[in-house]
Amino acid sequence: MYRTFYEGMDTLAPMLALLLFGLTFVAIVLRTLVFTRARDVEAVAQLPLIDQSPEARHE
Amino acid sequence: MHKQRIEYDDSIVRKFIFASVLFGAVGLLVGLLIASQMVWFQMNFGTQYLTFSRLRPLHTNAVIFAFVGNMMFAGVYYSTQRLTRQRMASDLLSSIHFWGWQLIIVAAAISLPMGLTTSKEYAELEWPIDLAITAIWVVFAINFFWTLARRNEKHLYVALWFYIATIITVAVLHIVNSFELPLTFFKSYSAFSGTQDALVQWWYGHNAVAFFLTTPILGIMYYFLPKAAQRPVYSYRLSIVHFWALVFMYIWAGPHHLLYTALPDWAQSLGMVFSLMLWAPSWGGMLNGLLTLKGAWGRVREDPVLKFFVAGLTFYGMATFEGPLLSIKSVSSLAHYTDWIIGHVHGGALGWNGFMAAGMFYWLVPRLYGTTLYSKKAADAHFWLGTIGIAAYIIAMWVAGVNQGLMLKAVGPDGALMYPSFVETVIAIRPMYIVRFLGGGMYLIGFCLMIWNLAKTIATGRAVNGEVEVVIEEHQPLPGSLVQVLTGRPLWFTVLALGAAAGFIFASTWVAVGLAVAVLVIGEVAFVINKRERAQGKASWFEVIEHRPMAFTVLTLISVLIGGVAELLPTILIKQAVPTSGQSQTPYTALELQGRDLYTREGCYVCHSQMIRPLTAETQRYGEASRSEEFIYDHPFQWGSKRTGPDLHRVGGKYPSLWHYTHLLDPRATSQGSNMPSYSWLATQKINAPLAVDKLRLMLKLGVPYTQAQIDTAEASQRAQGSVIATDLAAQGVVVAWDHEIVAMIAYLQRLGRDHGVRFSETAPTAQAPAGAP
Repeated sequence: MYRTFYEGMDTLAPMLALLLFGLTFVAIVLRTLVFTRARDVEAVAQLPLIDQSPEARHE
Repeated sequence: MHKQRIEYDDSIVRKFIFASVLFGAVGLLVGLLIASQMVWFQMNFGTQYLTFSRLRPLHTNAVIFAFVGNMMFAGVYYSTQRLTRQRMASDLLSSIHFWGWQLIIVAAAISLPMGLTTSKEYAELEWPIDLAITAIWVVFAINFFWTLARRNEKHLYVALWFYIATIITVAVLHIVNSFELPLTFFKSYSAFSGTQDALVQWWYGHNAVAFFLTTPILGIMYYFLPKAAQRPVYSYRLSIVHFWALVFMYIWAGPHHLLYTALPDWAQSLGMVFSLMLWAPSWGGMLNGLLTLKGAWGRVREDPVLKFFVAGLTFYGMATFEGPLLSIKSVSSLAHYTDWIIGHVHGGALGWNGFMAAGMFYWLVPRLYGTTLYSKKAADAHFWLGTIGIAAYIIAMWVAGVNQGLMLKAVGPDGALMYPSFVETVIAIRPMYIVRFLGGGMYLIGFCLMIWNLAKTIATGRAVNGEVEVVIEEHQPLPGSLVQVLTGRPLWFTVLALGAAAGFIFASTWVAVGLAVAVLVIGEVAFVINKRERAQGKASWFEVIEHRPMAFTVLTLISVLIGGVAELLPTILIKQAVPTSGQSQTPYTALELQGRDLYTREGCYVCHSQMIRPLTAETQRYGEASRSEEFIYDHPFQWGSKRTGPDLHRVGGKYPSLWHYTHLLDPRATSQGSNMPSYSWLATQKINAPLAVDKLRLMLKLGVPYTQAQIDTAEASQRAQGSVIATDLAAQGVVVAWDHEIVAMIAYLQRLGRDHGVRFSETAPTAQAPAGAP
C-alpha cells in the first residue's frame, strides 16, 4: 500500500532537507545551551532586576 | 564621571494604559454584539451601521490597534526608560504619539461603520488615516531610537531588540500594503490587483499578527515576567536564538493564508514550510518564559500577575502549535474558511494578548500610583472568568469549524455532495455560535471586573513617577568597530547557509547536499576559531553589534527583508496579464465597478469568499476552480478569508436577478435558516453615477485597459446596463430605478465568474433558482 503511495515520488531531496533541518536544529540547541559560556551573556539578563526606582520598592 | 538623577516620564505610561483599557472594553463589546448577530441576525437592529459585515473590521481594528496597540506602547515606554536608564528623549513626541494614535482610533471608529474601507483585512482604514498612521509611527520611532542613542546603559536588553524589530517591520509592512491611489478623500483603490494584491495583503496580514501582536508582547514578556517573578529570564542565550530565528522566519509564513488558492504553488509551499519551522522558535520563547518560573511555581498560586503571565504564555504555546498545524496543506483544506481559524486567532488574541495585558496592568498600575492592588480576589475571579470564557469560545469554534468542514466535504456513495446547500452547515453549527457568545460574554465580564479593580486601586493611591540615579561615564569606548560588524564571521556564515539552502531550490540535489556539508564544515571551523578567540578575551561579534542600536536595527531589517523580497518580488514583477489558459479577465463595466465598490463597502468579503479551491467538494459545489488570470483587474482582490456563506466567485448567472433582489432584502425568503442580515438600504440609496467616469479613469492609471470611449460614456453605459436589470425586475413585479444601489450590486454579482464571453447585454436568466440554493 505505502509503496504505491511513494511510487514515482522523488523522496531524496525532501528527506535530505528534513535531515539538514534536524541537524541544524540540534546544532543550534547544543550551541545555545551547552557550548556557550553562560557568563558571556547571562549577566545582561539581570538588567530588568537592577531597577532602583522608588516604585520598585513596592515589591 | 558624574552622578545624575533621572525622573522617568510615567505619565505617558498611565495615559496609554487608560486608553488600552477603555478601547479594550469597546472592542470586546463590539465583538460580543457581532457574535450575537451570528445567532440572531436581528441584532443589527435593522441599521447598516451596526451590521456584522461593517462592524467586524471595527472589532478587529479596535482589539489589535486600540487595545493591544495602546497596551504595547505603555509597556514599551515603561520598560525602555528603565532598560536604558534614561527618560524618553522627548515628552512632546511622546504626547504627539499618544494623542495622534487616539485620533486615528476615533477616525477608525467613525469611518468603518460608515463603510469607508479598503477591504484589506486589518488594513481597512482609508488613505488619509493610513498617512496619519505613518506619521505617528515615525514620531514613535524617532522618540524610541533617540532614547536608545541617549541611553545610560551600554547593553541593549533583549526586550529592546523585540521593540526594534516591531518598529521597523510594522513600518515596512504598513507602507507596502498601503500602496493605493485615492479616488476621493474617502475612497482609494489598491495599487496591486488579484493574486499580487492577495499575496501582499497576507504578507502584511500575517505579519501584523507577528510584529504587532507577538514581537512587542514578547519584549514585554522578557521585561515584566522577570520583574514579577523576581528572577532573571531562564536562558538569555536562548532569547538570542529566539529573537533572530523568529524575526527571520515569521516574514515568510504569510502565504499559508492562501493555500490551495490561485497563488503560485511555490509560494504556497514556501509559506507552509516556514510556518512549520516557525514552531521551533515560538516554543523556544514560550519555554524560556515558563522556565523563568523555575523555583517560583508556588508563587503562581498566590500572585494574580504570574497567573495571567503563565496562562498567557500557555495560550501562546497553544496558538503557535496550532498555527503550523493549520498551515499544513491537507489540514488547511479542511480548516480554511471555517470557524476553526476564528478559534485559533481568539486563542492568541484573548489568551496571549489579553492575558499578558492583564498581567502587565495588574503589575504596573499599583506601582504607577504608589499603592497595592485593591483586590486580589477580584483579579482571581477575572482570571477564572477569562480562562473559562476562552476555553468555551475556542472549543465551540473548533467543533463548529471541523463540523462544517467535514459537512462541506461529505459525499454520498454516488459521489454527490451530501449537503449541497451551504445553509445546512450554518444551521448545524448554530448551537456552537451560542456557546461562543456565552464564552465571549464571560471574558468581557472578567475584563469589566479588571477595570473596576484598577479604578479602585488608582483611587487608593496617587500618581508617582519612577526615578533612578545613574553614573555617567564620559567617552566610554564601544567594543569592536564598524568594520568588525560588517566582517563578522556569524554574518557571513549566515549568508553562506542561506545560499546553501537556496541550492535546494535552484541546484541539483547532490550540489545542494555538497553545499550543505561545506557549510557544516565551515561552521565547525568557525566554532573552533571562535572558541580560541574567546579564550584570548576578544569581544564576540554579538557583543559588538549588541552595543550598536543602528547596526542592530539594520541587521534586523535585512533579516526581515530577505523573506519579504524573496516572496513578493517574483510575483509582483511577473506580467500577470499573460493567462495560462489563453483567456483573461474582461474589465468591469462602469455599473459593475460601482456594484463592486458597494460589495467592499458592505464588507461582503467578511462572510463570502471569491476563490474556488481545486478540491473536488468545492468544484462540485461552486464550479470550476478559480484561476489567477481571472482576477487581474481586481483592485483590490476579494478572495475573503472566511465563509459564513457560500463562495461567490461563479455566482454570476446562477440565479435570476429577482433571486438576488429578494435575497438581499430578505435572505431567509430564498435561503431558509440563513443568518445573513437584510441589506434593505441598498434598495433605497442611490449610486453616485457621475463618479463612474473618475473611477474608470483611475483604473486606467492602475493598468486596467479601458478605452477613452468607455470612460467618456461611463455614465450612459450605467444607465443602459441598469435599465436592463430594472426592466427584468419590473417584468416580475419589482419596481426599482436603474440608479439604485441594489441594481449595481446585482450587476456585479451577475458578472462574477462570467469572463468567458457572457456579458450583461445577454439577458440574465429568469428561471427559478436551481435546487440546493445557498
